[in-house]
Amino acid sequence: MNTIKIGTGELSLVLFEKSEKEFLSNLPDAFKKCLFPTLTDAEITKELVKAYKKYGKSANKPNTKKTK
Amino acid sequence: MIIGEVNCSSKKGNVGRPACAVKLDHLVGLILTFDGFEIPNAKLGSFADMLEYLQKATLASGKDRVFYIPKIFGNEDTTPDPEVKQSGYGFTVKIDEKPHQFNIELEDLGIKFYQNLRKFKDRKDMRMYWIDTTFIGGQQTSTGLKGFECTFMPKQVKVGIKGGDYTMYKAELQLEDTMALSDKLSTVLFPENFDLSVEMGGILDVELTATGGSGIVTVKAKTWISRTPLYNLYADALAVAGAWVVRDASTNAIVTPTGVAKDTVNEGWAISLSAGTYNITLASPSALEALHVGSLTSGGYESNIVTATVTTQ
Repeated sequence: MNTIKIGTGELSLVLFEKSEKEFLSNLPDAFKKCLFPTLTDAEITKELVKAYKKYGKSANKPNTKKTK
Repeated sequence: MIIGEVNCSSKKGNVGRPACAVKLDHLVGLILTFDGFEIPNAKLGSFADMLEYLQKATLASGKDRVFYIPKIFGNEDTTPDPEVKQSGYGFTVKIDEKPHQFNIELEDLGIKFYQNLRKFKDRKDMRMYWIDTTFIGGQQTSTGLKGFECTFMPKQVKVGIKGGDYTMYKAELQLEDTMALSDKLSTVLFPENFDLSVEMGGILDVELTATGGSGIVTVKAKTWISRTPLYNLYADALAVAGAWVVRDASTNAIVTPTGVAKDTVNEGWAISLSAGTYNITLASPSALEALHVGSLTSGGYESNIVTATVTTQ
């Protein structure tokens, strides 16, 4: 399945193909609360950002930044 | 091949094989199937293989599903006497046997159970395996073991008169083949102390209710008869996309939710979807069983379809 386990449920990997901002805004607030029922809004965002960093579209891309 | 030694057919006309007895008071259950279902020879290599095949079939879809009816008692043989045709001289020239007919009393499993049984009424494509205390009986073919052609007619419920009385759930069972319980009966013996009613379940109906909201649908589920919330049993197991089938209500196309989560406040599940109207149902019983929702021995779950509208978040 193209999903990842997170909180009390799972999310489609399709969501992670968007930018971080879109990823966060595409998830309904009520759904976020269901995923993390015991966390505050700020803590929920932190958890989602952590997931995005791991599975998001830039997660596995090579670092192309030039180093001196 | 485990099909039996107790096969009563004899091509040479020999008689007197001692193990051919079929007794009506030994009938303890039925497995109802539709035409086309049989236990294939490949699954008749061992009793365990055959049992697993039948268990899986209780959770199959459409005409591949089998329906196990446990606990039959109070049987009564109502088979008409054979019609004897005589020549003008009074000699018997032909005996026309009549289909086997039985009045059977089923376990009192409630109104909904009986309502479901009525769906078998008047169907011409029913078959049945005869479940004896010691064997399962059917008709051997070149490809496997299939049930006997039958009609299963639930009869009007005889309501208990006062508290403590049982309400009687009766049905009329007719085996169309007059030789079903003699020449054509092939059996698979149960292992010692085996009780099929412990090893096979069936489908429990689940009633879904859905509430649409901003970006999500909240779904709740209860078993239809006992009203047990599925949340109490499978809150985590059903918090996955694979446990649900979501279709666009206008196109009927399958839609993949962007997320599914356990809803601890509403004791249900939140399904994240874009704006639109959707038909939602639980996944098939076999798909749910793979998610450990239900089991081959205790039975599975099948739900109604609910419609809900999601608004833009």
